[in-house]
Amino acid sequence: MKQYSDLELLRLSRSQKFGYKVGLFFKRIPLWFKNLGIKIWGFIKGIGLGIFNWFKTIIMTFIQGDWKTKVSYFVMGFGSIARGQILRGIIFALFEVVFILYMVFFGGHYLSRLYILGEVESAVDAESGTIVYGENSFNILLYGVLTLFFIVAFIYTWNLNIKQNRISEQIIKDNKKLETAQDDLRAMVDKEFHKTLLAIPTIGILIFTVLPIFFMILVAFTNYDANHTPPLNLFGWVGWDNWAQLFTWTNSDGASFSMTFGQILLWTLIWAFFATFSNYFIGMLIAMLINKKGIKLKKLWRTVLVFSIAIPQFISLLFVSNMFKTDGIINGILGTHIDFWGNAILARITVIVINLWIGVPYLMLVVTGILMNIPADLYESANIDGANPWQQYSKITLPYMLFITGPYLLTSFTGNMNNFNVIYLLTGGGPNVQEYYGNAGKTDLLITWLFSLAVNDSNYKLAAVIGIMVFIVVAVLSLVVYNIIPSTRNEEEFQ
Amino acid sequence: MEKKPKMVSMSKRRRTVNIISYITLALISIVWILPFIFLLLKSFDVGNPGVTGYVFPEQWGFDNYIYLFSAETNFLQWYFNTFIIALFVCVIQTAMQFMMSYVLSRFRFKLRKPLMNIMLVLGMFPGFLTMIVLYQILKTFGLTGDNAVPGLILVYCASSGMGYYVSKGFLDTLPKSLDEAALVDGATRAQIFIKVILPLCKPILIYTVLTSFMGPWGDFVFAYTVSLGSQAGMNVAAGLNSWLSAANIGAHFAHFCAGGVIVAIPVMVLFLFLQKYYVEGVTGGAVKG
Amino acid sequence: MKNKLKLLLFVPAFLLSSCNFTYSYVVAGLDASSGSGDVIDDGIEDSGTYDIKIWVDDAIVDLTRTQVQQFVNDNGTKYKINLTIEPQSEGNAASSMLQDVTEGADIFAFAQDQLARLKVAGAVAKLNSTYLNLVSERNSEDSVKAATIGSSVYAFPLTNDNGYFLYYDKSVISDEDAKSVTTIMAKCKAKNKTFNFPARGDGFYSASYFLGAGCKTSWDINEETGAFTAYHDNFHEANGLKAAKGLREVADKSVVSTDAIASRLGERSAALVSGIWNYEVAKNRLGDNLGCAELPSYTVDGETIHLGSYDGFKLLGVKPQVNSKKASVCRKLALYLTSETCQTERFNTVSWGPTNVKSSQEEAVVNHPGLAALAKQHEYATIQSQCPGTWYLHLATTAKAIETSSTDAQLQAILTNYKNGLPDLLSDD
Repeated sequence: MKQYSDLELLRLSRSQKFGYKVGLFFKRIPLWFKNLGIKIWGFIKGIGLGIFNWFKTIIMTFIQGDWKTKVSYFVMGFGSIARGQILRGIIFALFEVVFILYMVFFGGHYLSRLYILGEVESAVDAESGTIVYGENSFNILLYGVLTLFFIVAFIYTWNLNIKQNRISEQIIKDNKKLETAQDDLRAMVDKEFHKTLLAIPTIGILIFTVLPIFFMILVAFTNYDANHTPPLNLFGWVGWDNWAQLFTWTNSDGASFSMTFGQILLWTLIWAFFATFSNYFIGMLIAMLINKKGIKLKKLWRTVLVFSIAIPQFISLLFVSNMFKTDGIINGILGTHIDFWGNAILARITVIVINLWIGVPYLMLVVTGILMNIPADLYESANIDGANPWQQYSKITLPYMLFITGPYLLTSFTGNMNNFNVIYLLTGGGPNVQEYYGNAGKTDLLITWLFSLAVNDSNYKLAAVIGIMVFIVVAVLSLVVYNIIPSTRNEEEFQ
Repeated sequence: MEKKPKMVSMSKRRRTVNIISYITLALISIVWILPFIFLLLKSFDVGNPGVTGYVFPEQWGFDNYIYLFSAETNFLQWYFNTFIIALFVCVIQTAMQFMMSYVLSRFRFKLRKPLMNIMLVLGMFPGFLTMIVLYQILKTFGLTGDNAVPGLILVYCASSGMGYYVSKGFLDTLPKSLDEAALVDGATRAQIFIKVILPLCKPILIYTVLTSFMGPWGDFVFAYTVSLGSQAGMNVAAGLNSWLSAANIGAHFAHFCAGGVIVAIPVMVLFLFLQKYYVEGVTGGAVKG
Repeated sequence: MKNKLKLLLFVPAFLLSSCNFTYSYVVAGLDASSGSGDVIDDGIEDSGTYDIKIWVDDAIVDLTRTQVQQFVNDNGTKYKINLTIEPQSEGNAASSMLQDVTEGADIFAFAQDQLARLKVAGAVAKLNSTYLNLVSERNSEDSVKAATIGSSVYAFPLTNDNGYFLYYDKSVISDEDAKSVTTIMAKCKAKNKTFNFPARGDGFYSASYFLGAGCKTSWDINEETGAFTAYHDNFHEANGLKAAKGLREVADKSVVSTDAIASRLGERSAALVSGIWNYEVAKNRLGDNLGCAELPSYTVDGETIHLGSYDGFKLLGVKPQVNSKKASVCRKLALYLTSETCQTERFNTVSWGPTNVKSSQEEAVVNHPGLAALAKQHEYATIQSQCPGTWYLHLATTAKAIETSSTDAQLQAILTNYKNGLPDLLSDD
């Protein structure tokens, strides 16, 4: 393929330019993969080297350190206390005590059962109606993972403790003064203030987001479903069995899981596309209409639209869902018998239209803000050149808008892919159809499908598989789009 | 003299355009507001408490509202629970988000980029997937069932640091020279955060408080799961939702509407009151992405 | 600003003080005047104090509380119960129990089609021979069968009214018209009214066509694990084709609505197929014009087929307990709550149909129009045996697909799809 210089590129016609760009895009793919390979290799090498260096430092510190340091390898915080940094030492020592107690009385047991997720079954005695619960696979998995987290945290702290010793020794050797407890406290609100601030939010994220996600990823490799529900039943590891279902295209007779997954993914993407762009353009249109010169009562129009943001969706959407029933108010007013929720195509159109009602006001607000930032002289000069409103829109407003809102469009696209509320509250995923696995619905998004699999069928293993796939789709999409759109700007340039 | 007729036609054209614009806007406004009018009208319908097809009730009355506050339902309990949750959540969530966004905006440390990337990736996992795990974690702390209120507060707040984007975008626009000047004056970082930066963040603070206050009113999935049927821990969305089951809707749809109105009022008043800040937050968030 | 803040704090404080939120009650025996009726002596010494949580429908929360009080009174000072009663619909109880058996209710009411799910998850305890005998003795045979999996009974029959029948507006549809789907639809069409019949939207109702035509479905359950191991189903055979043809008639959307709501009777709607839970609403709507009858017949190729249905039951489950004394008390309490006294009281308060043989023969019960219609439909009904919960959805989507087909070949293809989907409903190992 011919490489054009910038000047040559300018001379090309629009279609030639497009063709050139597409060609360039594909030409870059192998290179991109090569770079990715190099990056991954570099990453692995970096980790390997890091671990090697870490061991080296740990061993060297032990060999070269004084006896206080050596004891600290076993009794955390000993060195710090011995050198007068009581506060630090106590915290280290306390952490070690807590860790040991935790492992002995709680974590150790769960960790040791993690490989099999429990074997002891529950025993039910029918005569007396009693039960002796056996092992609980759910708890083993949950607390096992928690214990792993705790071990990582312990290793980190232990390493910190060694590092402390090394640094302190150095300071003493240099005849400088060690930080006192007072210094430490002051650092917490000054130099190290970011650590203080981050402590609670990160712990929250670790326990309530990272741990659960870790857990669910692991569930995708177990047989946790309706027939293996703790506490009565055990579940166990099944390797890639659940994933095999996802990639088995042919099913002898019934509807296959993989086919249904494909269909629902397709509809999820179609939905996200229409939901995002219909909102975007109609929202923009309405915003421009309101902001037009000569239109009065701007604030009133805006306030009226914003109503649909102000009322919790579960009220407004559930009400609207009932409005569109065959016996609801819409059919009542029209005097018709339209089955909005019963017909697949109609239901899909209806949810997209109703979603406008929810989404347009946001866009209107966003667009209003941006419209005001477009330099007015652009329009003035366009006016002088005799550009008509459409030309002004397509040459000035739209490009500017797309440039500024590129990242926003992406997040709202992925947000719509996971737009649980609108679908669940309006249709519940229906109308359900025969040709889908588990009779999933025609308006089901991946997210509502996984929800009903988990809640109605207790099919957590497949829900987990779908959840991971949703993540992969969103991640890939974001990665690709972020690399294409022009307005991913450097965050530093604002300051 | 020749120009005048053209001017008239121009202004005439403009007027027709304006009239069309007004008509369009009026139509749009009607479409937007109509469901709420229907909701309001239905809540006064005492003739037929089920789903109906007419706009104006045959019999008007306050019975549906009276029912909500009678001993027959636990609506007041649900409402109260939700109110408490919203109150705590809006304070804690705002604090968490500001801690996170201030650090990410003002400090440069080794783990900053990785932290931001990890949070971005975590945000891509569908949240509902982890519901059952969250339930179990809360149960470990004894915060489910009757104690669902603190449990829900914890769930809503714990990971809220991940929603730092909007406030960080705002903080990024505040000049760093502010911090530097204060540092020179001998203020600690904590003092700068509290005394210099926070006061400047009023609009975005209000935006964050507002959005986090509104969130709990609409959640029925987590609330339903965590409360596990306990009335003492139920929130208003999960409670009202139970009135729409096949067996209940015939007698309770109007009650649902009345409850919806009562729920919507405080949220709506607050929202319309603070609309200005909301607009600022939404726009800022979108532009800075 | 400060004042506003104070106000903001004052409001919840005020609310807190003005609402008296208590859901736990201590129920203790009044005196030692023991043995006034339904006291079972199974020789288990189980006196003491117990925390018991009960989930029943919103409508009977207060009634159940007084019934528990009666139970305790009947037993003198033997028991002291810290009682928690929470409203939980029979449809949702199973999901909540499955979410967390250990924190769920000790005694809970649920719809019979949930039994298999509950059994698999260990949320219902098997009845031992003592209770089995008592329950079988007192309740109708069908209701006991509804609580049976394999050869064991897992719950106490609570009501027999979870089936469906026909409500109609006598001013539009005469008693004679109500005997045929075709005439009901014709009368509705003439007056521009709808016939609300969820046969295309809900498998529970779609089944009426197939069962009426003589189709059968049953599922084998592994008694040990509760898993579904095999099915015997002929919905796709010749009789099924008849049913499918019949279903096509109700695909006329201008007359038949799939919304199972009673609130539009007397106005837009002139007939409704639904259960007893809509009786009060229907009565309010239609007043003296309310007609209740067994389901109508449909006609296919000149053959008249009476719509079948499921006899639905609600059951009371007791979860397996860790403490054997508490298990004993819970069983006694559940037996009491489903006794003749309690079932009659329940009928008198909320018109729920009793399963107890004696109370179901009471005059008021027999004369209740809705229950009478159910009783008449009983002749054509099938006992709702255990099947996978997703089977109903599977059948509903089959009925839904019939909407858009016209030829027999197309109908047969849909039924074949139905058959092919059945293996997916079996439990994996």
